[in-house]
Order: sequence, then C-alpha cells, then structure tokens
Amino acid sequence: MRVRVEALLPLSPRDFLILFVLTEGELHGYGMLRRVEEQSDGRVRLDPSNLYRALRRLMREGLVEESERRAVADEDGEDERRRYYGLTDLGRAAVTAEAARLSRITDAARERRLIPGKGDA
Amino acid sequence: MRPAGEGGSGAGKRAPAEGLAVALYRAALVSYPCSFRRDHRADVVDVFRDLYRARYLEAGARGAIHAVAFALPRAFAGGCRERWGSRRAGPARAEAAAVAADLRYAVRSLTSRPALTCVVAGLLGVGIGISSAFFGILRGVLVPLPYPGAERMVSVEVRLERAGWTVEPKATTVLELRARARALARIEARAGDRVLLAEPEPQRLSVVRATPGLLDAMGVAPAAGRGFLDSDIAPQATPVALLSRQFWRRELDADPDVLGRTLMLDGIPHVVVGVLPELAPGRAAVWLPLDLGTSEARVNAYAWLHSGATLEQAREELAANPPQSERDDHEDAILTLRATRGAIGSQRSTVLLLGGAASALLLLACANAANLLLARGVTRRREIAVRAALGAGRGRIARQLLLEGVLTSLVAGALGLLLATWSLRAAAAAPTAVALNLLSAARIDSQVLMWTLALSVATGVLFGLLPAIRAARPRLTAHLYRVGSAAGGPGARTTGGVLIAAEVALSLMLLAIAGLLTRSLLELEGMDPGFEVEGLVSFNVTLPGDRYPEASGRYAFWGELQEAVGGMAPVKRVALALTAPPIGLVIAGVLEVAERSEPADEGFQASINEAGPGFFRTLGIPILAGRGFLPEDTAAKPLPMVISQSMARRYWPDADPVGARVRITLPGMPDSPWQQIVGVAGDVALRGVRELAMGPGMQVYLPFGSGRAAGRTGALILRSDVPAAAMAAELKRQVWARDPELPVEAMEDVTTSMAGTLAMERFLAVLMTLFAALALSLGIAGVFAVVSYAVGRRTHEIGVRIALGAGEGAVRRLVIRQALLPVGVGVAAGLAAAVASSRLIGSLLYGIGPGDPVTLLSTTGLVLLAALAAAWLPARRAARVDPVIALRAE
Repeated sequence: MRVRVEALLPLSPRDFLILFVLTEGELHGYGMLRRVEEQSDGRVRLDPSNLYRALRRLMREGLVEESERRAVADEDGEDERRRYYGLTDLGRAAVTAEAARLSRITDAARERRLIPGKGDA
Repeated sequence: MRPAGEGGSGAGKRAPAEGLAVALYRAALVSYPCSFRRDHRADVVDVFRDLYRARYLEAGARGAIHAVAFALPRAFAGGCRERWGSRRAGPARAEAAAVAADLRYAVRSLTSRPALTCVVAGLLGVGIGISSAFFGILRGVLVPLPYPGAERMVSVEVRLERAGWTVEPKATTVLELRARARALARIEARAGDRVLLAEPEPQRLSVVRATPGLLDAMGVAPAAGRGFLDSDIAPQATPVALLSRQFWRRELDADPDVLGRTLMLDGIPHVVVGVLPELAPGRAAVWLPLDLGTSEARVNAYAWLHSGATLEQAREELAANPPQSERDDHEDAILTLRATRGAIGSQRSTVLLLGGAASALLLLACANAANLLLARGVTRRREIAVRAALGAGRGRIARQLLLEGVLTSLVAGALGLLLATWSLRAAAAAPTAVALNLLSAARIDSQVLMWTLALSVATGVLFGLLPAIRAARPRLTAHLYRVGSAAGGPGARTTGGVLIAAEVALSLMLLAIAGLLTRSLLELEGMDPGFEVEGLVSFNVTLPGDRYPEASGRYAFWGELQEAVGGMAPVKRVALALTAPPIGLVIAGVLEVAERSEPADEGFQASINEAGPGFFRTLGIPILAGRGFLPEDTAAKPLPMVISQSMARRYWPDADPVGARVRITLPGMPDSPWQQIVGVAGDVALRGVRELAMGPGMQVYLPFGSGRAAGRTGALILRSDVPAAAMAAELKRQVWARDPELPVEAMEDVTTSMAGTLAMERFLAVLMTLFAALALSLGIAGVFAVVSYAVGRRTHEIGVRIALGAGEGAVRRLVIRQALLPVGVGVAAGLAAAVASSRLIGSLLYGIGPGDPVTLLSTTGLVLLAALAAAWLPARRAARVDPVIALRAE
C-alpha cells in the first residue's frame, strides 16, 4: 500500500483540498464546494461541474468512493437524491502522506526564515 | 451542530431567476461527454442550484449574477477539457498505440524478407520514377500553363475565307479588340523579332516583343527585377529589356548586378530591368516591350475570357461586331478565337505518347510487384490465420497489410524520384537532347514531388489492398490445419493468368510503338534530301539598313564576299541563297498560270528560296529542264523562276513548264509581277527531310536579291573539304575584313543541321525503345515468376505424374501449355492496344502506317518468343523434379 501511495504524490492542490475536506467525514457535492472555499479562505472556488470532474477522477484513482449514506430527508425532499462521497483507505493514506510532505516543506521554510516560525512574532 | 455545508445550504428557498440560471447552466454542461452527464449531471445541477441560492442570500442580485457568470464559462471549458481529455486518456490512446504497433509490425515484416522487399520496392521505384520523369517533362512542356486562368486562354487568329488559311492579326486589330470585346477580360500579344547585339561579338538575337501585361497574364513573374509596365511603352520612355535566364547565364556570366546594365540592341541602349525565370515560355534571349499602337506587324495575340463568359459568347460577340482593320487588307478576313489547351498543338502527340508509355510501364511494374506480393501473400495465409485466431480483427489485419504496402511504396517513391532526377539530368546532358526544348525545360519541382508522393501512396494502397482483401476472408481452420501447400486454388490461377496476359499485352504495345517509331526514323534518315549534303558549310549574314541603304551596295558586298570565300583553299564551290537548308521559308498564296482561265491553285503553298548563280551546282541539285540562274537574272524582266519537279508535274502534267509565265499572289501584296519559269530542278528538302516525307516537294526559287529582302540578308553555302569548325575563324575573318561589325550567324555543317531536324524523332525512337526494352524485361521477369510459382504449387501433382511414368518432355509441355492461354490472350490484347495507340501518334510517323504489318508481326514474334523462353526455365525445372521429394513436399 505504501508503494502505491507514494506513486500518487504530489497531489495537485485542488485534489489535496478535496481530499482534505473529506477527512472530516462524508460530504455531498455542495458541502464539499463550501468546505473547500472556507478552507482556502475563499481562494479556491470550484465550479460544480469541475468539482465533479475532479471527483470522478479521484474515484477512478481509488481515492474517493461514493458513500452508502443518504441524507436525511429534508423538508423539500431534495436531499434524498444527493450522493455523498467519502475517502477510501487509500485516499486517507494519500492525503496524510501529502500533508506530511507539505509539513516537511513548511518546516524547512521556517528554518530558512521564509515563513515565521511557530514561536516567532 | 451540523457541519457547514451539510444539508443546510440555503436550499429550500428559491432564488429569483433561478430557473433561468439553472437552464443556462444546464446548457453549458452540453460540452461534457455523455458518460459524464449520465453519471453526474443531476448532482452537478443540484449543487449549482444550491450555490446560486447561497450567493443570492449572501450578496443579493449581484451575488446571483456573479455566480452565474463565474460558473457558466468554467462549466463549458471544463466540459471541453473532459471531452478531449477523455479521448486522449481512454480509447484514443489505445487506438494510437495500435497503429504504432501495426507500423512496427509492418516494418519488421518487411525487413524479415529483405530480398522480396527490395525487389518489390525496386520494381515500383522504376515505375514511379519513370512516371515522375514524365511528369517533370510535362511540367517543362506545359509551363507556364497550367496556371490560374489557363483554361480561359484563347488565341486570336484571322481566317482568310477564300484562301482557306489563317494568319496572325495585326497589332491595330488587337487594339480594336481591346476596345470592343466585352467577353474578353484581357488581350495580350507578342511578336518575334531579331535584333543586333553589338558585344561581345556581333550577333543576332531572337527576341520577343510582348505587351506589358503578357507575362503577368501567363503567370510568369520575373526571377529578378521587374516585368514590363505600361510606362515602358510611353512615347519618351527609356527602352527597357528583360533577359531570359539562359541569356543572362551564357552571355553575361550570370552577373549579379545585371539590373540597370545597358545592352546595345540594334544600336539603341536598353536598360535591363529584370531577368526571367527558368520556366519562361519560348526560347527568346531577350524580351522587349511591344507598343501595339505603333507597331505595323502581325502579332500572336492571346485573350483571356471573362470569368462568366464562354468561348461561344465571345465568338458571337466577335461575329456581331468585327474589328475593321483586317478588312482593309483582305475583304474576306474573319477574326476567330481558338481555345488553347496549353501546349503547342504539335506537341500533344508527343505528350500523349510519353504519358501512355510511362503509364504502361508503371502498370507493368505494379503487376510484377503485385504478383510477387500475392505469391508471398499465399504463403502468409498461415500467419494471418494464426493472428486471426489469436483475436486480431479483420480490419486490423487489413490495416497492417495496407501499411506494409504503403511503406514499400514510399520507399519505392523515394527511389523513383532519385531515378527520375538522375535520368532527366543524364538525358539532358546527352548530345541528342541539345536541340530539344522538352528535356532542357524538364524539371523536378514541388509539383512533381507531390505527384510522386501521391502516386506512391496510391500504388501502395493498391498493393496493400490485394493481400488485405484476401486476408479479410480467411478460412481459418482450413489454413491452420492444412498439410498440403495447395493453397491458392482456382482464384490464384486466374490471377496469375491475368497477370501474364497483362504483362504480355503491355510489353507488346510498347514494343510495337517503339518499332514503329524506329522504322519511321529510319525511313526519314534514309530519305534522299535531293541534294548532296556531305561537305556543305553554310552561314548567314544580315546587312543593317543604315549602313547598306542601297541595293547596289548590298550586291557589291555579296559579290565581293562570294569571290573572297571562293578563293579560299578548301572551298571548291560557293553560292548565295536567301537561306541555307534546312532553314526555309514558306509562302502561301494564289498561283496563276498565264493563258489559263482560272487560277491554277487558290491555296498554293511552297517552300521558297532565293538562289544566286551556281546555287544548284554547289548543292548538287539536278537541273532537269531549262537552266539555273545567271548573274543578270536579278534584274531581268520578266523575273525568272525555277520550280521543283513535283510542282512541274502537278501544274504542267503534259507540258514542259519552261517558258510558261506564272504569278504568285500573296496576301497583302496584290500587285505581284508575272514571272517566267526558266528551269525545273529536282525536289529538295529545303526545310529538312520531313518536308519531303509529308508530301511532294513544292519548291520555288527566285534569283538572289529579287525578293522583298533585296539582298539585306543572305546565306553563303560552300562546298569544302574541311568541316565548319576548321574553317570558322577564317570565314569570319573574310566577313569582318569587309565589315567588322557584321554578325556572322549559324555557321555550321549542313549535315549537322539537317540531322538536327530529326532530333525529335530520334529522341522519341530511342526513348521508346528504352521503355520497350524495360517493359520486355519486366514482362519476362513477370511471366517467369508466375510460371515458377504455378509450378511450385503443383509440385505434388507433378511428382505424381513423374512417378507414374510421365517423361520430361510431357511435363514441360504441360507447364508451357498452361501458360499458353494467357500469353495468347495477352498477345491479342496487346496487338489491339498497339494498333489503337499507334493511331494516336500517327502525326509522329512518316512513311509508315500505324498498322504496319511488318512491325506488328515482328514485335509479336519477339514477345511470343520471350514469353515462351520465360516459361521454359521453370518448365524444365519442373520436369527434373525428383518425384520422391515432390511427393513428400508440403
């Protein structure tokens, strides 16, 4: 499994973000969109169709899967149809590995004072 | 608390214009591939709706609009990326990989049997090379046509109804036509002329005077400098000139600074403003602008139809409103338009001939190559069957075979191009080709390259197609489990037979044509020119009007020159003439004989020459009645005339023409004087032997200096022991001793120039013989291959026969008999084709008819012999087969 994970790195920023927001739990399309937007401070705004393009690809690569879960029926009954997506084990491993990689980079950047250290002002 | 984005999305409250926004978004999703839309469109639209509502809640109308503006283009672009991306990533990539694999397989397959591949590529290369060479020649002949508008080009001629022949229009007529004709978009003209170039050596140049728009209309752009402008023919304009590339290279040493240089032509300085490209039409050394308004000459006029007009419309317009200037000269003159399809008419036969021969050779080469491949194709059936059993689709196998064919043909095409370039260069350098503008103009340019490429690919497809078609119908199990090698069956036998018949037919056709052309050439060469050609040397001199204004001065010059040359040691006899054979002039007019009520001939045509005293004796022309010319004849009245024997026979069948008075009236010269016949000479090939070959020789001789030229130009013909080269310097000295500025032209042995008139016939005969020899070799090789292959297939059967007691002779006869039927069919087809095609080239044959039995019989015999010889060897091998081995053979 480790071999396969390393082959997937580095993840594109968009893919990383999508996987990252899924670590919190399963989400449906709109949820993912909003979480990605929040997580990136409004910088990454996905158009719905492009989100699903990425999802489709991630599913093909085995990082994301469709969830069995269906939303609790809401007043308007729309949520029933929505599909939820969640991380696969591979996906979780991949996002973890990528986070670690990014962490190593930020550590090195702190050492060189490119970004303020944790203890700095 | 529910995580943000979970359910509570602002969904639930419809935002204004939500329906429209969603509809627009749905429309943008069209760019996504079907699979994506099938799986995700619903979700995507839902998410968009949520987003739209959320944005509206956050930022009102502005937010909603922003959401749509943001999402729509991105959705569309994403869809495109998904579509193209999916093609690359998915099945498309697999497809490309398959083609690459097929290509690799094809290359491996070809290189695994190098001998076969080389032979096939070589055969095709020869065929393609010859076709390319022919196309290169065609480019030279037809250049500058075809060019845009070529098919709209017509030539303008004047037809004289009563006399029945056509002449060129006057310059003023062309001007009139320009003003009137609406169906004609432009009209240009040209006229040939000769001017005197003073340096480095005085010489006369043939020039073309052309209207400023002519070159442009014919699509010829100068290679350097500029073409003619209308300002060049303005009244006070500086005289300008365009040089042909050959002249620039030859006389000016390809001077890079030639533009702006001055040339003295006819004593007038002309500024060089441009150099024409290699492919400029005609062989004039220099082009000068033609001002139609001031020219009195008759010109070659060409017109181009308007894009909407037809030739008929133009003709009708002309008939309704004819220009009047021709009527001033001839009452019966009618202006006509003739469609020109490019090449000068007389070359059409040659072009057809070469084209037909090249095609025939290409077909032969293809037939041979196809035969080889088919034979190989049969043995590959097992390989193909295995591939099919392993899952390769029919289309895939066919594609791979096609690739093999195309690859081979591309290699062949490259070889062919090399062959064509080399052979054209070699042929152009050979001495016989010097006189021919066909080869010197031939070139391999980008059009020829494209043609070669197209031809290669076409033959490759054709080739690859045959085994591919066969491969598409495999009977798998039969081939997989087959023990005997009897693969082929009746289908292959017929194909082999068709191939043999085709090879024999094509070879026979080419051989027959070559034979006819060769015999025609031999006939021409064997013709008696009517005078003694050996030992004659001639040269021309023209006396410029400004320094020799009086006839007496001119005659004095000629007299002195003749005496001086006659005094030279090697010279035995010398005489004056207007032109020396084979250059001659032709007249056409009305012939009247005194004391006969009607004109003897209204369409009289004859070669004409002016002859000084001693002319007939110098040239060795027999005087059959009366006498030749005497010195006082120039001024005698009535003017004496000598006619040829054929002319005497035609117009005085029962009487002696000597003493008769005749008058020849030429168009535009109504008051011709009566002349008296003083002698009858034997027929002479004044314009080359072809003149005599085409019909009885009509020749008319006048005393030197009595015609319109009045001694301004003349030829000195001398009989000498040494050739022209050895005498040239001395002869020129004699001329320049009297006048150092006179150009001495065309100094050569008359044998050389007479032989030169047959250069085209010789070229064609040699070329066609080469083609035919090639065809015969290909044919023999083809027959040999087919018969060998057939024998190979029947090894088993032959083994059985021999084991059962058949003798060698019987086996041989068996094999040959099988080949006989297709050979017979081929001979019949070839004879028919030969007769039909030789009729097309009838204009190139002299003294021999297209259906000449001797030629046809002998070539048929040759082909039969060759075919039988080709079949003999495999037959002999079959007869020697060891029955034990044959019976055991697979």
